[in-house]
Amino acid sequence: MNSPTPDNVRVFVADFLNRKLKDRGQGPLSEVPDDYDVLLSGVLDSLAFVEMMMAAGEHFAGEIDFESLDPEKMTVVGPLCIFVSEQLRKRQ
Amino acid sequence: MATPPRALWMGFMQSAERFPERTAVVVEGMSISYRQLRETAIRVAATIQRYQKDSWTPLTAVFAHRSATGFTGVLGTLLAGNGYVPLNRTFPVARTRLMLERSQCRSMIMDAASLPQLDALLDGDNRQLLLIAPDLEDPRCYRERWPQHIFVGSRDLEGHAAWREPTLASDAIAYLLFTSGSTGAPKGVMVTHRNVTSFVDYVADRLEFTERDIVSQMFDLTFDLSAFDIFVSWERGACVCCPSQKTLINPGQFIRGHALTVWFSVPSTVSLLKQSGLLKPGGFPSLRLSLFCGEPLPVSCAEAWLRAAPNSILENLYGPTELTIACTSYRWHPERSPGESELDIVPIGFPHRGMNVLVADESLNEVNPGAEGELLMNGPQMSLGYWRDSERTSSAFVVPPGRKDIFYRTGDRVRRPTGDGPLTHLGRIDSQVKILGHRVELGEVEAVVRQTSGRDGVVAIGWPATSSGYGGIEVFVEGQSLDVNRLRSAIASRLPDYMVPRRWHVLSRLPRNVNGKFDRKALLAILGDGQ
Repeated sequence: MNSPTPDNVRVFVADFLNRKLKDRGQGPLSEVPDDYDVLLSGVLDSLAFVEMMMAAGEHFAGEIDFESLDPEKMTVVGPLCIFVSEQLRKRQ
Repeated sequence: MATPPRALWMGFMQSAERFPERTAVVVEGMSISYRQLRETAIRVAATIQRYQKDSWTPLTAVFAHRSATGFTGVLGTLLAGNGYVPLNRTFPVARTRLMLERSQCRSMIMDAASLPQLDALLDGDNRQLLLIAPDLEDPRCYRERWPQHIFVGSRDLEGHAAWREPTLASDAIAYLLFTSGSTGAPKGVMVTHRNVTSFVDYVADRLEFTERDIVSQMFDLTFDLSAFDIFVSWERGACVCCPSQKTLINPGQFIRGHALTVWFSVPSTVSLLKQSGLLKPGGFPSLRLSLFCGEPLPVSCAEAWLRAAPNSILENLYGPTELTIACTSYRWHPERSPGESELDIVPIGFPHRGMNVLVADESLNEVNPGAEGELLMNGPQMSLGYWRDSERTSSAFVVPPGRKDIFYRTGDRVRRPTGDGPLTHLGRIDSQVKILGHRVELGEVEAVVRQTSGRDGVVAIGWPATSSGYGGIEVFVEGQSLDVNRLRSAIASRLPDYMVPRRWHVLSRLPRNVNGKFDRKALLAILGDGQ
């Protein structure tokens, strides 16, 4: 198990998105920049986003407090990775 | 001669007269008053009326997703005298195109965010279309791109004075909603003004909607339950509160932020909230009504929800699109309801006013009280059938032996009540499978797995297919890891061997379809990939 650094969370997020794309018969993302919005890009819907957050908790053996999540900001990769990393480190 | 129905827009127009400055819709961060919505919708309606030819099908597509234009489009279409055909940019564009072609719409209202799909949607369509984009001030570039179509932007909408109140035929279509067909091709269900007003009149009265209500809109327009949110609210001057895609991530914040009084969603939303720790006792005190529909409601979800929304009445609604939104309802009672539930699923209750129930065997003869059978219904909410598909209409809308009237075959298995008890839902007719020669109701397996695992998201599937049915059962459970060996022995003490799942698949989230229901086809694909 990796430590939940922002970089490791980003690897996890990219992998999750690419698995979703593969399920739909689409190719992987060439890059996942900081300003990439996982929801507005259409790769995830809101339920799949929650699924990704729960999977991150399971992968890094931590917990994410959904209540403190700001939906307007947290679907953008840069802030998302920092938020998840902070949450998981707090609750590992 | 049949009398013309009360038009579906009448409720809105009366509310706009009574409460012009009250909020009709909250969407995209904006509050739109009844007066504002009426003004824009009338201009859209007048524009459709100006260009529409007698030879055109009286339907208008609304290609919009959680936007102000979606609501304007629905109301404007109705005010023009047309039925609306909802399209959704989050669907694969090939499917949207198929719906547009099948409906034979010649007019379409689009929001700004759906415009990028126009190329894929219109390419090769040589019919002249009327395309209204109220979000677009200057549609010049679109006119140049598609000179064969009529493009209308916000500046070119007709004025109010041009609108003529339409006269409706007795069977006028209010909306044509495409549902998935077993062949893979979507089928359009023709729902009339009479169907919807019958539903709205009954439900708005029974649930005592008022202008003070703030109602969630969790359903996209392409899911017919959205018609509940919109038309029941507008009937009484209430506010429809439509969350953005992002807000849907945390429905709890949405409920509290807008002080919602009415919540309506599929039960899967409850299990997701439970799993993510967002369903806290007393968390939703503003709710006075909690309504669920679209799939079976587990007892555990109803109880957990009521702990979070202690001031609310909880109802489980049931109904296929063909019977207009919902045609039965069951009100949860904390003492009585657990005993009335079957397979750990909340009953679907009692038919709506004027709706008739027939629980029938395979020959469509009524079964005895207490026995299981297929649910057939008719009454004022029964739709006209499938758009330009008489074959599928006649196979689903039938006259049972000894009856004079047409009933709709729901394909759902229920227990015929004894006495004045509620209808209980037992699963789909096709969820009953043969395993090694035994008839097995997959819903029963799911109920036992739910009870023993404590998880709400459970789907059982017959697998692999054999010449006589299926070789066994595989089960998908939503959530984190499980002690499968312990569960297997607990289940083996309650079910015969052939009903005990052979393989367990624990997924952090079960796949759901576009309407938020568990997607059995996607789970079958997972099993297929694993072979």
